[in-house]
Amino acid sequence: MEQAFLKFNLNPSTYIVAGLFIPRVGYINENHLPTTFNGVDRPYLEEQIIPSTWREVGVGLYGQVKNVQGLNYSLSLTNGLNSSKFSSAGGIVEGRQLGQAVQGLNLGVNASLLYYIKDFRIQMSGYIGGSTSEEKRVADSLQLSSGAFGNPVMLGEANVSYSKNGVSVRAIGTVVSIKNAKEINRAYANNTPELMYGGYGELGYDLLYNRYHNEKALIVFGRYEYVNLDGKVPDNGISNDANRKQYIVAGLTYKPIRGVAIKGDYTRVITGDFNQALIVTPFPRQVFYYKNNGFINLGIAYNF
Amino acid sequence: MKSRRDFIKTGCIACMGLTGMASLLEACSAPLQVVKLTNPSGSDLLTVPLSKFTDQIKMVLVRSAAVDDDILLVKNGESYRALLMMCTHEGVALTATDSKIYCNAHGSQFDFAGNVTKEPALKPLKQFKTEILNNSINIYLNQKI
Repeated sequence: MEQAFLKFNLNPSTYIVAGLFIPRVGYINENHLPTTFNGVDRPYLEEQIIPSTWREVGVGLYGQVKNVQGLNYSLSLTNGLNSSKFSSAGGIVEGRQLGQAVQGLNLGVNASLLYYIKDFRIQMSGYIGGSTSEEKRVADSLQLSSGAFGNPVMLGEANVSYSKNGVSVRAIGTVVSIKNAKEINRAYANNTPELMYGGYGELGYDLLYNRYHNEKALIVFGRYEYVNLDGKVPDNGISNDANRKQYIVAGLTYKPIRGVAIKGDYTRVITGDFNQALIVTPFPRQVFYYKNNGFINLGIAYNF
Repeated sequence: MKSRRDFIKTGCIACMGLTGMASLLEACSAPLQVVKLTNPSGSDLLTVPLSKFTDQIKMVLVRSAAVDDDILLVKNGESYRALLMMCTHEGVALTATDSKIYCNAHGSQFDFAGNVTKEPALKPLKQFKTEILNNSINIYLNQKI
């Protein structure tokens, strides 16, 4: 189950949610329905660094600032992450608890400002959360700091979108800091990085806009992404240049009607060299690692 | 970022900067006028004075206990549209700017006729019938368009 929450309106422009919900981090985390973004896969930065769809159990306050038209805010308190599931290639993605058998032993706080002006959407958000999901006695034996914000993970991001007359532009940048990655590595040997960062820019144009004004759409788009899961590696970690990735994506999104999208894209993935030292027992028929690889993706999306 | 203290310090500076920016933004983006009416819950009629609209003010937000969400009253030539500011996707409150109506939950966008311009919402906004009478705009909550 993705979300299950109670919503209580304090007034028409302010509400509280409580339960399993999606905090406002990044662009895709909330806007993740497949008919609303270009490309068969979600932007890779918002899968690998901002781990969309990131949903947790907690409470959230959402509202509109009274004296500034278009300015919205959110503040949420949820359970934290589980650092035993962090990894070099996966970052914090597997550390999400997702409301399933969650260890309620730590907390996460997320805050955002979202501003709409004319045809622009501008957002900044931040997250700080504990990542030790163990009882104190277990954390002590692993020499990990425990408590609500033990071994904190900090995430900051900013994104801006523009859309008008069939043109759509989006850019985002994000950084994740895990300052106690060394201690996490010592406890779990999972090669947790200390710093991850990245960004992407996308440009799209609806070729059918002048005729159909979004009733139908044929969007041609291009996107460049830089994803660095190895921004900084602690002393007891192993760096892997394959975790520094560039994605070049170009494709088409055809919407015969709203709610349905037929997508196709070509994605070029360019990485650094794979660190062979990470393979402890090399398989005799090891698959060759391609640093520069292309994929054709096709997909059908619908929302209801 | 070296420590939690640095992060909190940076975060506080960023928040102060954003607050300062919000003050500047107030100058750039004049707040949408909110007209609060005292009609009780269950009322079928809301009345907004025509004087709330000027050459510069083309839309106002109407708030009343008679309806759960705000109503955006938009001047449309010589008539007025009353749009319920509730997203038709999942019922979240909407935000209006000078050029569009946005839903900040999942990214839906609407124009000032209430039509969907961006998914995931698929249905247009609910609209109420309006009538100009005695220098006021009547919004009939029991008559949807």
